[in-house]
Amino acid sequence: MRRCEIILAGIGGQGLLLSGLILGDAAAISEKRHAVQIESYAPLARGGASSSDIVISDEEIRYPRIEKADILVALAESSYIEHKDRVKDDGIIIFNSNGGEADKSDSRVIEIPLTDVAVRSTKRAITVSMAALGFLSHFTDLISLRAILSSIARKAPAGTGNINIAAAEAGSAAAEEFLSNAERS
Amino acid sequence: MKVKKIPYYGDSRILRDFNCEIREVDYEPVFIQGNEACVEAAIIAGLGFYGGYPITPSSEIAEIFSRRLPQDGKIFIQMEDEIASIASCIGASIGGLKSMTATSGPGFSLMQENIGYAVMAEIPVVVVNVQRLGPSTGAASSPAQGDLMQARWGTHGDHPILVLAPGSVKETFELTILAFNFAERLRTPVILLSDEVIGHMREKILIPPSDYILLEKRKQPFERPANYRPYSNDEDVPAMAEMGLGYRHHITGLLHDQNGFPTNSQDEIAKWYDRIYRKFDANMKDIFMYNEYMTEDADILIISFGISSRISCRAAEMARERGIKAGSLQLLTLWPIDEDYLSSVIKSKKAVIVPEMNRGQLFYDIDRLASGRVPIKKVNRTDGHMIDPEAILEVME
Repeated sequence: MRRCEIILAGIGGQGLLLSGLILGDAAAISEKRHAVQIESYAPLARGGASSSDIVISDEEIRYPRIEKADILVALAESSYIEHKDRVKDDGIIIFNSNGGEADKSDSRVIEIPLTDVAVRSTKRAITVSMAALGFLSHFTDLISLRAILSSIARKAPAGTGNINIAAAEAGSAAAEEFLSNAERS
Repeated sequence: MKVKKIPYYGDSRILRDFNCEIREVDYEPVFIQGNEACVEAAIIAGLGFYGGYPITPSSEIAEIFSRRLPQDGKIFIQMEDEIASIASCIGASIGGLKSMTATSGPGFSLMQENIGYAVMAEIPVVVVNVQRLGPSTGAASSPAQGDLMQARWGTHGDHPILVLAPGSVKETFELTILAFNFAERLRTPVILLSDEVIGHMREKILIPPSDYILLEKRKQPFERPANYRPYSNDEDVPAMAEMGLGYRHHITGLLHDQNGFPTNSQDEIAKWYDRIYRKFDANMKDIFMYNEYMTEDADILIISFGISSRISCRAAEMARERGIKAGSLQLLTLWPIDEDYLSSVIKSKKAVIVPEMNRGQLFYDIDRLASGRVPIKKVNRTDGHMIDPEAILEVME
């Protein structure tokens, strides 16, 4: 697989940093590819912009930064506004429609109520970023759900493995539903 | 002079010589931060003591050691400040343990006097500086490369010191092992100069089994205790006896004679200075390390260190897409530098660019070594962000 650049962005408290670690680990360890992850966050535990830049490739990654992202996962409207210009014209933006509104004329945007998906399956909004990873795994050929789940089992903080796995599975099911609805319409 | 560089896994210089082939399957793949790689390497290198005071962006190092070292029966102490941190490491090293501390700019400033003490008393110790932005408190979570000159000249008095600078998680692992090996071999403090990006960036690396790794240990005296001279001029690096084994060992920050006692003798002092510089010169081919990328046929050479070298490689690729022959030379060792080698490389190029996240520090040496024969251009950034490859391309045109 060629080099793929992904931005995971949201607000502190949405589990962004863990999901960046999980996606990178899933690619690097579970799928034996190469990955680099650089995170940035405000000095706050809740609120404030938080994001993770991830590069995944079959080859060793010399340049660790994102030039133009293939995929943006935006969990909040502010993250969409901050990062949308970093995404390729033919890229994909997975937007959490529970987090505000994206530009209706932006053809790259896929709107999904990811917070609802997460809360329905785990009752915890913080698992929204795992639901996003689950969605990503089914919606694109970037990474398999199996790799995501095995990384969660390895890397999630003690006691949070089950809810994170449930959220990722719910996200994947939401993608399946989204795709079958899209086929029908 | 022929100079070695760190090859990729398989025949790396951190590995012992084996008659059998090293199998990749024996390596453990991990996806970790630079700071975590530093810890893993230090543990494999045989670290016995960590004394430190946590500070962003180095805090993970202290945090992980605080859990890991006690599990192995090793010592972790959170000291009251950075002055005490390095003092405790010097003491532990004198007691025979491999010791380390990690910090960032503000703490590194506080450590300077005792780094000089370790130079003077020739005590092996590894000091990690995960650089952040600015003088004083600066910006805790923003990267910079502003401590290069401080790593070299931060403590007063003329002195040699070893400064190593990783540009990736893998190099953080390798150079941490080498920092301990060189500290032990040369009886010297070694500075590992990382930065916020490398410290917090996660990459996949392959950790070799610990028994594959070549570890060095300080030379022990073979003579009887009565004849032991801890600062003997007979060898470049005199043996360092562990405290408590019956070997007299007077240690001072004053200039001292070969027995370690203070002296004003011109002859003794001159010989001491000659020897502490000689031990670096004699090991230059091992300690001066670098990585090359597309340099052989390059007209334009980009010389950089740390995270900026990753940007330099991309800039060289982009330049070649535009028909400009560019290459990247990454310095893994910032001090001492092999001036003969570097100056001949610089003079063989049409132009040299030095990108760094400061206002021009590595630039001074590169410009000096060019002796006015090759144009040297700077690319600098000090707003807490990495340099863009486009900024390097701009000065090429």
